[in-house]
Amino acid sequence: MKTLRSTCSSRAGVSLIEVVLAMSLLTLLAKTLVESANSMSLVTSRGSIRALLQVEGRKAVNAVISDLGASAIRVVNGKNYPYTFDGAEAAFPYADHTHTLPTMTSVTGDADFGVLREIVFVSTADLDNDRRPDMDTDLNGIPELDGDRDGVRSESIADLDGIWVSADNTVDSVSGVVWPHTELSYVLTTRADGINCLQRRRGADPSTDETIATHVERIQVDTAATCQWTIPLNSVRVQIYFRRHDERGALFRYATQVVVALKNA
Amino acid sequence: MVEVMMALGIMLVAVLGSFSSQVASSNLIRISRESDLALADLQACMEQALTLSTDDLPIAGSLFEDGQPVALYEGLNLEGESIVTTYPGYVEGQTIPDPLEIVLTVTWNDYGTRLRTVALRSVKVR
Repeated sequence: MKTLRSTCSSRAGVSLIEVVLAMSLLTLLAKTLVESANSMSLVTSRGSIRALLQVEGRKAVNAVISDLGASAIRVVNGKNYPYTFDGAEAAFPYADHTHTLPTMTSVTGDADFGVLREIVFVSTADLDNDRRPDMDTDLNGIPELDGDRDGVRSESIADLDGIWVSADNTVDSVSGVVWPHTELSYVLTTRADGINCLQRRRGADPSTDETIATHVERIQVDTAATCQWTIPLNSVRVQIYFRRHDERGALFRYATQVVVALKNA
Repeated sequence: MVEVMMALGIMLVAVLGSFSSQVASSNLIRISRESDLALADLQACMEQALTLSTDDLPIAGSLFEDGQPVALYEGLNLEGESIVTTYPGYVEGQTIPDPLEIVLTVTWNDYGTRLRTVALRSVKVR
């Protein structure tokens, strides 16, 4: 009886060495787990930032293609378009587009360092919002519109009333294309939270700003003349440089460029 | 002790399984991001090609010469990136077809140095 009790007590529970060993292994495993989870989290967060910059780039390129593809090199209301200006300072008669210089953090030697060159342009009219450029097909100075949305374009009062103001538009006497006098511009501004945004501005009025892309470090818009004729005439090159920091301060950059053929091309 | 070691072993297998699935997921995201980047470059390249006239596109010496890589996009955003322009139906020295079909094909090496390819087609009329 004595022998049986002694044997049972020696086998019951675990020894201190076993506990310490198990705890050490568990701690090691937990530490490895935490580190790998952190590492995966970092990879995911950095991948997300890169993907977000790419998405911003795609959005910006699509907007540029859509806007500038409907523009042209021409004179409207006595002004030459497109007009590009450096350092956020536009000269007369485009001075309304001058704005506060955005915060740019790149320095000499950085791939995204360079001149800030923005653009003022005009785009074909779509007064009746039918997603087609308005035209004066019979070249009598009055376009055929579909203001009453009945599917028929005409010069009747029902179609023109409230949307056609001849003093605000120029009708091309040869092609019949209607060019509104409202100027559009791409400007880079710094938001109150410090993020740089590429904006589409209508009529030099900041309250009309539409954000095209965020985290833009710099934009450079070149015509054939400003880039030493390295792009075809009647086209515009837009280079957009993005910058964004992650939570740990690591810098991510992305650059995209597109050459868009204008309407004259 | 044997039970503890077995339990730890099972936990280790579970953790490794979870880790490898995370790595695979991360790699898939990377492939997706690279494909997106390749498509963005293709789109920009196509826009640039469309700024040229049909007669200037496929000829020798053009930026978009038939069968040749576009110099501007060599290794631009991706590892080993190259965009080659081809014109189905175009034969050098003969009349340039109208409309002219343009095919841009981008190739690059992904993270596993596997060659990947995406193509974009468009048509330009004279």
